[in-house]
Amino acid sequence: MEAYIIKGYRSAVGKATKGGFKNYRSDDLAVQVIQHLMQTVPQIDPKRVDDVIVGCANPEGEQGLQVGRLISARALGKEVAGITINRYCASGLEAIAQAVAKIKAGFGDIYLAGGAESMSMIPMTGYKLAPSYQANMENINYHVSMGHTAEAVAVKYGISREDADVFSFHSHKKAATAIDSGAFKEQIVPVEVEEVYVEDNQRKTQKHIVDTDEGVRRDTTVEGLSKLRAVFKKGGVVTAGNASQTSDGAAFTLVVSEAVVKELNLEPIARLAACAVGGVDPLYMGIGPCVAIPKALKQAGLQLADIEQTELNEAFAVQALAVIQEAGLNPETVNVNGGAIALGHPLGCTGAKLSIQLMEDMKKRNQRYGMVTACVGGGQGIAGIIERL
Amino acid sequence: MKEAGGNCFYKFEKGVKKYFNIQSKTYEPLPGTEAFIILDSYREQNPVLKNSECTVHDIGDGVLCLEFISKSNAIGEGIGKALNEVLQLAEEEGWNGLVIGNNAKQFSVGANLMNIGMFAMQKQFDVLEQFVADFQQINMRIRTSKVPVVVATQGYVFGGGCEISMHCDAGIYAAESYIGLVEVGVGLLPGGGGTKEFALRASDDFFEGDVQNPTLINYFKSIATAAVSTSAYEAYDLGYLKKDRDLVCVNTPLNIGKAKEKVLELATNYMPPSPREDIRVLGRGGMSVLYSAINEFRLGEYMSDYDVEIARKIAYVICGGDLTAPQQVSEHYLLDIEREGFMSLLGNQKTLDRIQYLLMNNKPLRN
Repeated sequence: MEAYIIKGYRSAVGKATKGGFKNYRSDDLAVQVIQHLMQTVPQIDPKRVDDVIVGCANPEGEQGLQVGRLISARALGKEVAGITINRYCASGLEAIAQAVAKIKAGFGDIYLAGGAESMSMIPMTGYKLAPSYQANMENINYHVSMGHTAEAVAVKYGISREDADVFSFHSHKKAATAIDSGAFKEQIVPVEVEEVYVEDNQRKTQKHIVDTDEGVRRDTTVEGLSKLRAVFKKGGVVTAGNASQTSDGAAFTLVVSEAVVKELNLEPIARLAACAVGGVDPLYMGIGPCVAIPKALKQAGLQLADIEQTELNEAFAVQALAVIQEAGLNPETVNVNGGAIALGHPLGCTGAKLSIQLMEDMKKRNQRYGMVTACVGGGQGIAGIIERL
Repeated sequence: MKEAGGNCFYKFEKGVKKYFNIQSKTYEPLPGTEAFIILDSYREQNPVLKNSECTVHDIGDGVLCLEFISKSNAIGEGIGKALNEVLQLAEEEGWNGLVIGNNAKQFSVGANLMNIGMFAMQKQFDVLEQFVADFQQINMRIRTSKVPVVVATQGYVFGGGCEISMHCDAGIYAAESYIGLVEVGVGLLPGGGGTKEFALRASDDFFEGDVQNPTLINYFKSIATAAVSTSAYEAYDLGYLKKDRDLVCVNTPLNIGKAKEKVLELATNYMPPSPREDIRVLGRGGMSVLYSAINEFRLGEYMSDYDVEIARKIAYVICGGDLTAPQQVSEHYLLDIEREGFMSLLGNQKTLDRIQYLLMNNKPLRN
């Protein structure tokens, strides 16, 4: 049975450790987004939701303790189940793919699928970095840090520092234009954040609304970016300016079966026509999309030329450029509203966030096929093809 | 003045600088200098012990002071021998304790590299292994002696000098002390108990529910990158100083006097520590996280291939070897594997090249 995406909403993306969500838990964020989403589809009784699939890249600490189940119970009621899944940066897209697959397998009819991540609260590699001894004996790069994979990709595929900085500059410019034009306004759930704190020995309360992505640097220049120091490697190319930002955010989609569409007279906006993953050498993690994209195209029975727009997660500028180059993507149709370098990359949330952005933008441009793709830590890639309905 | 036993206005007497008081016609202590202990002022009195590398002074109140006098205060057999002797003497004759300190610009540049390099090039590994074993035992002797031992430092506190310091009961570190286990620079690991001591300190820092690996990484980084503190205060962060044990002295000339005070404070009902058998090491789990960290340094081109080899040896020792699970081990065990690691590196031509290069050029070789 076919599965359809009915709606998708996301939070704004906050700057980790200093933005609007720095003290706001990702499960609280997810609950807000899901409840808003369900309010826009009053035909569906929340208790009918079969499962809430929550992508999360570092499910520990504040995101541990079965955070997926906690989110489902709080957002929809204790009768509704929830699960946390993890494919690192692809978790959000993987969640949608799993919802689609379950519906097609006949395991359920209504799913909420997406992701949530607070990089303010959980550091990039979690609180305890504990790589496998045996794995390290077999290949020391199984656990290599993402920055070093980007440096390796830059060398292997001949991406220069200058190209990376120019790409980053354009990411910021495109994102600023998109925000100013209100491109993301309809997909973002405004979240009220309450802060209780002590100032001058007085307990104070302050509330503010977070409704706009925080990462964009409007005053950035190629010259300014070129002055930044390489972070990972002596004389390397990866800087804080041409890598994705650490972020906080949540994004969810409502995925239902064809039967439910008919029963409740719903209007689907899209379907996930294909979704594929593939593995690459962990040291060249960033090139992962290049193995996933052909698989997804084959699944969908499409050619690359059929893809009118692509959301390519900008883990690093050098990695994104290498993928564009090696996969033969049209740079003009990649990340038309900017990418993670400007808008942030809340790991487990990102796949769902990009899918929502893509669906919204395809609607405005009246496009039929779009693609979401990302590299994945540990040496993987994911690609999902979305058909707008 | 002559009747008072002098021929000039100032003189040293039992380590005290005195001036001739014209009114009382006697020599009296120079006001404001009581707290200073300048070892030159003890040269007139017979040393308690003396050899080519050090002198042991009686600095009053039942306290001894072992002063390094070798070139750059490098540590060789003479210092080791004297330390053994002076501790035995202090224990048997009922001295209150020992200060290890000197008034030189540098406290110590570490072990005598010339000797180590010479023996290694001559492939006299038995001699070297005995030297390392002796140095380890001396440091353990300092740790477990029946009298308190307090170090007073200034300037360079490198390598073996740092290892001696870390094994004392307490330390008075001049603020301008530059402290570091710098052995990696010459292709070695700290072999005089320094690596063992970092494993011990990491273990002591672990707490119930602690994820432990970040603590281990911090200690490891200090040794593996030969980190030298830019002040005594920074040495706390690098793990060379302990907050509950060591003090920083802003006025350098006061450090030996302060160390003497500390000896006297500790001497009351002093209970010497026993060799530890409860050091929690992380085995393969710890080694794996350190191997990953080393890989990051290598990929970033902050380490050479040989640096990686050395760092992996350090990881092995600080984790207690490739144990399949964390467990408690003794200082004795850690010293054994530390010595094995030191000797295996000493047998590598690249280590010898580093030693030779440093001796000839006074700067490290990154081969």
